[in-house]
Amino acid sequence: MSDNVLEVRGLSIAVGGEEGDSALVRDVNFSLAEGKTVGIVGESGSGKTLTSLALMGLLSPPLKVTAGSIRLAGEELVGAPEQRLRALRGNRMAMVFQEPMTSLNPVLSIGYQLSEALMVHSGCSRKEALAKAVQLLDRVRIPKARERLRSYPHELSGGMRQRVMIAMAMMCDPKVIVADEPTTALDVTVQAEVLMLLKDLQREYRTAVVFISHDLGVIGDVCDEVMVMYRGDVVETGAVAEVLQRPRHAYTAALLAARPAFHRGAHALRLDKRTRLADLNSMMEAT
Amino acid sequence: MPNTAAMPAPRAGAHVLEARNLVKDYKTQKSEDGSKTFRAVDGVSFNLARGQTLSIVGESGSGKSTVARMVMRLIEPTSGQVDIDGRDWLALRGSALRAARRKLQLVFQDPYSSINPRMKVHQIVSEPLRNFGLCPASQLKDRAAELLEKVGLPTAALERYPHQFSGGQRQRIVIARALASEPEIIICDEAVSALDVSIQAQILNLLRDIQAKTDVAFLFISHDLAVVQHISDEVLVMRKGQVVERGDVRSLFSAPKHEYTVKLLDSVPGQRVFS
Repeated sequence: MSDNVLEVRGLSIAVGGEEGDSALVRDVNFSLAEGKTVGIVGESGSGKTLTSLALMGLLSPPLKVTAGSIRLAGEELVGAPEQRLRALRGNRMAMVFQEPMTSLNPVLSIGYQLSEALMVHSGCSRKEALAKAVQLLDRVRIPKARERLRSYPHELSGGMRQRVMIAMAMMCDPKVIVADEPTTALDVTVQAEVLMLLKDLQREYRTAVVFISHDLGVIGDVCDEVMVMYRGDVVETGAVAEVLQRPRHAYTAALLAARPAFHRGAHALRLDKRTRLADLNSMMEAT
Repeated sequence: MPNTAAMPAPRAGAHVLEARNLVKDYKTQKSEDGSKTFRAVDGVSFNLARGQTLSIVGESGSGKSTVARMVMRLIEPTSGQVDIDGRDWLALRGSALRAARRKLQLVFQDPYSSINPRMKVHQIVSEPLRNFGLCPASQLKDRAAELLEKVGLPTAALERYPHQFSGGQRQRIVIARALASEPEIIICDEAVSALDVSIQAQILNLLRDIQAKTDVAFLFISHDLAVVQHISDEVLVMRKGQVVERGDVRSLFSAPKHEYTVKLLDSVPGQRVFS
């Protein structure tokens, strides 16, 4: 057996029985080792979110995995019974979504929501689960963690809610966290803090992360490897600096060229207002 | 640290928009310091010249959108002065205000909620022409076709409904509508924030082309520093209702003076890998 906590081979997703060319996601392959982060980057419709949902066994009919294999610590998830997936979700693998306001339950306290998963999965008491919750809220730097257990989601800022989501994902010491645009709705300074926190936690707990984002800069900051998806295909994959600095596929190059560059210091003095951004669509048609 | 917010911006000749000491107070139940007002915008001043782009950057709660809405007169300032073409914009009332509004147009973030789903594209785009009586009824459709051409949409789009278009195409429709009354100022409030990077690039290029052709001024509200750097001539950095730093785009990004501006620039993702 390999050291990879997650192994994905030939993963395809389609609506109903459709296969082959009509698939929405085709032939995704990647391996993820303990403590590492793989990014999936692409635009709307690229299939990045479908891929993330498939990893969690959360595709809802008529969407389904039509081919391939997803192995979590050696265990096959494709075709596994729902009962088994439920035992793994929130336990061995957890998810962090973009919008913490809609993924936290507004009528339940933070403490209740944090302790729920651990009680269900480990069978421990509420008291034990709450103790762990305080420990993790502390760890994600939420001030007065013990008092916060009684808070409701609306009483927290967006950045705090996303920290709570991360703490919740960490409650059962998952092997893999799937984070789908976890900082997209946050202010840029808060985003920087949350990303740094995620990296720290990863180092400490050796959690592997699948990081979904449309933002090449964020991908560059947090990922070891990256997969670039375009219209359902993985068009390029490799070490993150390699892919972003020396893209080999035309789509990756076009995506990078369409992005307004950010310049600081002396570079910013050479800004030229006439610079045009690359038109990705015409670049892709030309290839 | 010099308090740049208290200093009036320098006066100059060809300003299409001048804002002086804009203030917006909101009544609250009670705030932490016991006062019953919350000052959302606190003494903001700026000038916008014809054919130029001024951006206001800031995070949630900085007051940047409130400034834009006061300039539009969607909300009334508590105090302050706004001149458009040298005329007192805040003194205008009733039909005079209505007539003057053609000079100022808006492009919002979400192209899904800023157009009427039950109108055809030609009706949407020509609405300002009808509203301000700028075009005989017989020529409305021809004029709508010209406007669509300016934003790169085919004439075939005229008879379609908004739901038949993608987000990027809808934002083009919104821009075509904003151009209809030949405004001097277009306020873009997070106008490209919800778009995919490839579509964002097309819309940013389009805005620039339009500015080069028509000399329209943009007041550009955004949280995205890379986009702001790309599109702007001048930049205001706002925090908690105040302008903490202002400057032309090159000097602000090459040598920021205020610690908050530095923090914002430090937070832009991807600097390590793209440097």
